[in-house]
Amino acid sequence: MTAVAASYDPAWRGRVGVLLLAAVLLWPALVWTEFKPWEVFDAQSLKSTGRFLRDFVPPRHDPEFLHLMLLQTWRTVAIATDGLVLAFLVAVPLALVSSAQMSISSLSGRMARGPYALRQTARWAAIVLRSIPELVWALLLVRVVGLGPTAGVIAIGITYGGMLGKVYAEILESGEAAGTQALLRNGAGRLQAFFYGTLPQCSTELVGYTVYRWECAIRSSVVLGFVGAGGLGQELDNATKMFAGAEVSAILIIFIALVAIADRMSAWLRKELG
Amino acid sequence: MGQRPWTLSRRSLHALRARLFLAPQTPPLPPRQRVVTAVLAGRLSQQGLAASLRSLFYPSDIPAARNALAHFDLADKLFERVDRLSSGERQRVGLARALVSGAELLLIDEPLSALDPARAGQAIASLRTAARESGATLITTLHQVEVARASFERIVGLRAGRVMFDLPAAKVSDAMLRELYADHEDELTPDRQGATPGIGASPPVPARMPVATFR
Repeated sequence: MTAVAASYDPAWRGRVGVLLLAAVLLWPALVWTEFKPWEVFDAQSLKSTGRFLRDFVPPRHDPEFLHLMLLQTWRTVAIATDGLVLAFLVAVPLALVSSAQMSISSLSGRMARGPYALRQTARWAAIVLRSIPELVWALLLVRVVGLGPTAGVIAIGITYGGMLGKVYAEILESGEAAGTQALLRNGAGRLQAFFYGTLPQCSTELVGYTVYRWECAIRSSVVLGFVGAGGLGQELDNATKMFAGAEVSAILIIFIALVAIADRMSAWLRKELG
Repeated sequence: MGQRPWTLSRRSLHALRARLFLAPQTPPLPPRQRVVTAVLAGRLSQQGLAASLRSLFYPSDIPAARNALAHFDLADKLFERVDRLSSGERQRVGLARALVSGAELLLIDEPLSALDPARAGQAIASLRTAARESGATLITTLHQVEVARASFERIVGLRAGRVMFDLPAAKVSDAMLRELYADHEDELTPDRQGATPGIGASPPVPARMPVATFR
């Protein structure tokens, strides 16, 4: 009896139970999402995929096409950069208002009620701005301002403004508070204390995050092109719809190169400013 | 200053703050800031936002900053970054900031904690001169009893949060000091102070220390 008891693993029942539970939970999810990977490999779609992929080589590279791509690449970078500038303008006041570092009333006791409410409002504004993805903003804005880069710039400005505002405020609060508070205690104004105490404390992190977001905005502006916001994305969308494999591959190569360059540039900038 | 800070509105309380200068024991200077900016930050309450932003672009009063630093032998560090300074040098930059502040009351917490005896004497002398020239009151906390007796007019002895004595420096007797430092007499011997200047010589909590004032 004791020998039987010793050869029995008391944990296996639980293990089997978890596996069964996972299967029960995941199976309906697979059914609902109509996940049927074997359809990729049926003869019909293999044939059309094959034709599409064969077109990939060589990528299209005639001067006229390359010139157009150069223009669109430039437009993509411009959408990202302008969008980020707009986001910066939105984020700076949000971060300044929502960060508690520059609170004068909390120097003596608790933060006063008015400033506290204002800080919470700014925090909520940042949450609302960034909770809607830029793709959705772009879709809405294309209806308002029409097809073209303006919709992309505003969409990136809104969503990234919320993101930057939130993260800026967090960076400002995570820094050493003593320097800012010493200035406030000696009678400096909030913005003076910010420029002489908080900013030199956090500048590297702030710049690093902004540059990283610029890189993200470049990727994002390509996606926004699909909903009609112009740039490389729109070209990629057109090429895919027309099954122009050579153009798709050329655009993908340009896209990869662009992101790689942006990545190198942001790494270099962060190192220089660090 | 004839005001009761606890009854003031927030605006006039902040205006009162501009007339005081509180220097913490460890000066809270941003590491990437330049010394000249860190010193001139002592003047923020005397100038408007526009003037202080201009001063970030081009330091508004380089001579004043250099002069304040020269009082503490740091004039050559004017354009260095704060993170290149030792902790003693940082403490002296904090004191130079107090000099340019133009405040009427200087509250300085342990100005000598990171300084060697020679620097400490120089620092106290500079603070006294600056206070006399601007007609400001200087209050510091010190563990260096001899410095307090030699350089300050009035000494307040604190033990466990209570005032043990509050007398002109000349009337503070050795017996009083022995009583103040009962169980911690080793801190009274200059030898020990010389060997471990600064924080090492500070007494255990609750604090026993003379508060020295100079007017």
